[in-house]
Amino acid sequence: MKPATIKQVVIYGILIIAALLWVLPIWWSVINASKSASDFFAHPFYAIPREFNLLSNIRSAWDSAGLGTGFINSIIYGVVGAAASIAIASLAAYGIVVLRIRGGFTIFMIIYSGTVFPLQMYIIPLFRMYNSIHIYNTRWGLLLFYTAISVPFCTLVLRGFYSTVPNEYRESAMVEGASEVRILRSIYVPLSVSAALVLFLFQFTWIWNDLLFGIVLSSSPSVHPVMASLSSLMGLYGGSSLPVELSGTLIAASPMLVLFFTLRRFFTQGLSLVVRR
Amino acid sequence: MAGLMTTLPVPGVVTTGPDHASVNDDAARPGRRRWRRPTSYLFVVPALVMVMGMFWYSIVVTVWLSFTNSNGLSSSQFIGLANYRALWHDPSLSTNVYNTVIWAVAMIVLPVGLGLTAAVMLRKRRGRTIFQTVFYLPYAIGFVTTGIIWSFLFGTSGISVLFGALGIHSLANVQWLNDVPLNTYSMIIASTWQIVGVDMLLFFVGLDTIDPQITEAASLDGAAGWRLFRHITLPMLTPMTRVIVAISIVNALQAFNLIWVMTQGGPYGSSSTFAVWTYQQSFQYFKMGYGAAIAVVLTIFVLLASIGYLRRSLREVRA
Repeated sequence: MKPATIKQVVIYGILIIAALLWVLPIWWSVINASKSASDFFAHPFYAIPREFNLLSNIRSAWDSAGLGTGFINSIIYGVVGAAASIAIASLAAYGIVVLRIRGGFTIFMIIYSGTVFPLQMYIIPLFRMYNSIHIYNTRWGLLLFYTAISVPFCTLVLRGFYSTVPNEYRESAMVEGASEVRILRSIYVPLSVSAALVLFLFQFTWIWNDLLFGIVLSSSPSVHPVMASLSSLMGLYGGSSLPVELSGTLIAASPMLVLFFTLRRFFTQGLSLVVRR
Repeated sequence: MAGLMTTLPVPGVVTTGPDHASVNDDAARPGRRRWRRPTSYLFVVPALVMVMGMFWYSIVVTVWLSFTNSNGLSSSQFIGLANYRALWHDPSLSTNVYNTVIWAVAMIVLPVGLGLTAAVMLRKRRGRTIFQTVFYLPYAIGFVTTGIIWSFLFGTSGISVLFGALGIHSLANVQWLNDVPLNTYSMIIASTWQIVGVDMLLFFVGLDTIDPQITEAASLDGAAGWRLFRHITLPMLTPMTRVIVAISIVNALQAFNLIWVMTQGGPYGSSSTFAVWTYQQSFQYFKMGYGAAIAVVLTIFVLLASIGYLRRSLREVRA
């Protein structure tokens, strides 16, 4: 073999071994999520399931520890939280960059710097505040937090986008008597729709994956986001029914996988749109 | 990498828009009227109220609480620096500092290094899409999910059984999540498994921004393979590398989700980090004053680690 061919073989060899290491944990999770409890205890974890029990495991997981409720809660938190933060950030970006209010840059810095600090700085005061204004352990409370935590980054990105829209669009709309809100809605929002979709994807993902604030700001299964339910499912069984726990992870991972596979191209494009240097 | 760009706003990586137009909000642009009716301020009010009311408020309160003996919701007294003094003498301090530093270093070296390697190996190679999908898959499933999968694999019915069956008895008897300091390393493996894919994607973006004429010119001059990578590609990637490293440090310093799911910082606090420690003191022992002091120290670490990066970002946002 030529040296170049040997090099190719070596590189593909390394890549295939690495890919196996990355795929095997997922494969093992899926096959063990499909086993009955007795099958799981009778045979090693890498054995193929004797019978296909996945659907009944998923049903038990969905019903235990409020995982099903958590799933629905997180859909609400993710969709509404991401959409609301984008709306609020659009307004702020419009005010700062298009209306160019006095002190706009300072206002922007105040909004954006709210999340420079580690999240651990927020947990204790928010827990106490939520208790004293009686929104602890409510869906509204969690929705408020998830919206607020997403606002700074959305403002940062949308501010950048709005600044590139030629001011002439706005001026001619004003000649026709359009209000500022209408200009924002019918000129700026449609022009930044790609950025808004990327933001939606990022913020939804963050909210979906959050555990810390789920357990800090709520305590009951009816309010918990999905990851909080999933981790209490683990405590519930204490390892006694791994197949059910693992099928719970499949439930929790499914929306992310669907988003990833349907929007994959869009996601990588989005990444290069938002992350460019 | 908690939420990639959500927990940490990354101004440095965000372009100012499709055509890199400069944004200086306060500077009057020639030929434009400035609209400053008082109602204009209504646009920024919701965002401002949310961020100041929740986050700035929290920062002030956390700092204040760290000087009190607050224990949950009842009233508390000002005790000056007593929490910080107690922290200094706390026997858990060294474990937490050690683990936090190990996490930060490992999360720079492993996912960033492997992500870069994968990006360089896969770019322009046939089958890139499938490998890319495979490496990215764990990131798509999330931290908590990753934690549960690896808890299962590192548990008694996990890979130890496989090592036993393969006759590698030295590895079959290892307690991956109980032995110290192995438990931290095991979680770092799980975390690396999860994060590599996203770092790889970011490096793809970085590699795509390199002008192909430069690499062509270099290869005409005889540079190839390692030399080309070392002297051309790597330096050209520096801005992206810097961003990824900064995000990695900041996220590693506040890593919570994965550790909480896998060990809760145990056994006996042996795998705890500052982020886990804060939560534990505040919400399991309800020593909120003490928890707040730990959070303040963590914040100082995070700000020190990201200060150079934040300054650079600030300059870019202002530019």
